[in-house]
Amino acid sequence: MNLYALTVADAMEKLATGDICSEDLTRSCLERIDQVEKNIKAFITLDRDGALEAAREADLARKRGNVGLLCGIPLSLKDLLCTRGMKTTCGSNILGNFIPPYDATVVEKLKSQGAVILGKVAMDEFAMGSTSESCAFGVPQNPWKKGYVAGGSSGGSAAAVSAGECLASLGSDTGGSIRQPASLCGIVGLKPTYGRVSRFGLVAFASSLDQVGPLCRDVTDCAIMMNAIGGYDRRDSTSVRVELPDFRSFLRGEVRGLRVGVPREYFVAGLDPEVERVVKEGIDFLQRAGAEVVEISLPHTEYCVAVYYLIAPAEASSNLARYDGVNFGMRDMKADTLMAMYKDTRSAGFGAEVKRRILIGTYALSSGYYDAYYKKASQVRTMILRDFQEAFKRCDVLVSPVTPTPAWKMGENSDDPLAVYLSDILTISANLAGIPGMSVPGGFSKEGLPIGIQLQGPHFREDTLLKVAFALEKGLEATRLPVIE
Amino acid sequence: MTAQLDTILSYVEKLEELDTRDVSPTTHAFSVCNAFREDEVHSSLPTDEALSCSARHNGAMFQVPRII
Repeated sequence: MNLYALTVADAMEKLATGDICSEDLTRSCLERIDQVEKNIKAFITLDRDGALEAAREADLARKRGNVGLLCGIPLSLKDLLCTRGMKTTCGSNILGNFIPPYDATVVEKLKSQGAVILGKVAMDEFAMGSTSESCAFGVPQNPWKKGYVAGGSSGGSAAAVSAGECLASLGSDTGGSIRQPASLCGIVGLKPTYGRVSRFGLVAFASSLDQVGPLCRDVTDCAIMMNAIGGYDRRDSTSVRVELPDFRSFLRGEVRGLRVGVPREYFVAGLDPEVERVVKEGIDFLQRAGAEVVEISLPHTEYCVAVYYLIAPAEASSNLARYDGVNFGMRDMKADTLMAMYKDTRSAGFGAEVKRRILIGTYALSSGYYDAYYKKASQVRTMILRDFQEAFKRCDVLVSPVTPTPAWKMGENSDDPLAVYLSDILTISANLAGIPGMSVPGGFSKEGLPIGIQLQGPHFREDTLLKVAFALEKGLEATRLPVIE
Repeated sequence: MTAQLDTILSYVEKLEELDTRDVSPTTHAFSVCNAFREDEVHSSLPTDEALSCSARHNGAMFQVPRII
């Protein structure tokens, strides 16, 4: 069997028994990358030598009995997680040569558990997008179908995991950026509760919405990755001091008596009938397995896109003010005044979508418009949060589609940003409410494109999501790797 | 881009349909109140490492075009 196709859990077992070593496993991923990367284009930076060295170190550490949770497991990282000594571009020219002098907390955790970092993977510029097409360094392709998007913004993570280029990856989710590409590429993605995972060293997009999470081949791997990255961090004051459970302990697949909520507003016009069929089949399966299905209403769902596209750009415009060419990142060296330097650096460094969002954000925050835009959006955000609080009095988990359609062709909607924004309608609310959300493979379209099922739960109830996801994975048998053309 | 921004701004005006008079705004979905920690001294980045990412510096400071 090809080692690159192993799950994290299987690889851990084989490493533990001595059947395989990390160097062979890592070489297998690198060979797979050589074989498919010209089509998949997931990697921005590939650290071949560093990965092999880390693999050999992991093998030595294991011999000495020093076995971390992820000892010798080859992973990739979305290119907005700071990696000491390794380029971190955020998919943007403005950070094209940025080499961070420190590791993000989650990267530090992976390394201290013995993980092998293969490299950094593609994403929409500053995570602003739903297709990864705004990446300045190559656009990842959906491993299931040539010429189709891998989704975004963590498109490189999803493509790399699905194509067998790494065993698992970390991404980030501000409005669906883990769940949506996971769904489009047929893998598992989890956006944890806001505050569950440290954001220190995650390049900020919208600080009240961003959260780091895993993209994996199956639900068990997702639980393992959560065990590795979760927890309070003194360097992120919004991370929450709650007990960190053993996420693997929830993988029992027993859903009897669980109340499964089906949000009416997520099954409206525009939903592809094939997506609807797959999600309904998932709900039917849970019902047959003994779960109680409850119809739920989240009445303010239709406003979430408008709220999000004010709050996220507002926060982004403030966060991205730091890219001024002074301390780090690109600088226009021709400018002879400070103002010209700021202006020329930012004009040349940022792409169109980032500029669009900075303009919307500064406008929404400007005096005279603040109440009408930013404040109004923050108030409607409260109403969306209350919808969920009401819903979770009546159910334990919400089951819905992740995206209105399966993956689409590259280049579609490229001059209609609003059309792309509207495709985020089913994932955005979880970020506004700070609740955990997950995408688990549910089935396939007639064209053979994967379709995910979304699970959402109350704050810090990743346990319920993992339990239901595990049951769906076992029951629907829709989890598999693509054959790459 | 002007036309695109117009489309987006007219779309978000949809929020006007909702009466939010007595609704308090949410800035963080899961608010942490008084996020205190022990006041311990930790090491910070050494100057040379902090400067290493800059396009122009003199070894001690970041350098920018003349301001005054």
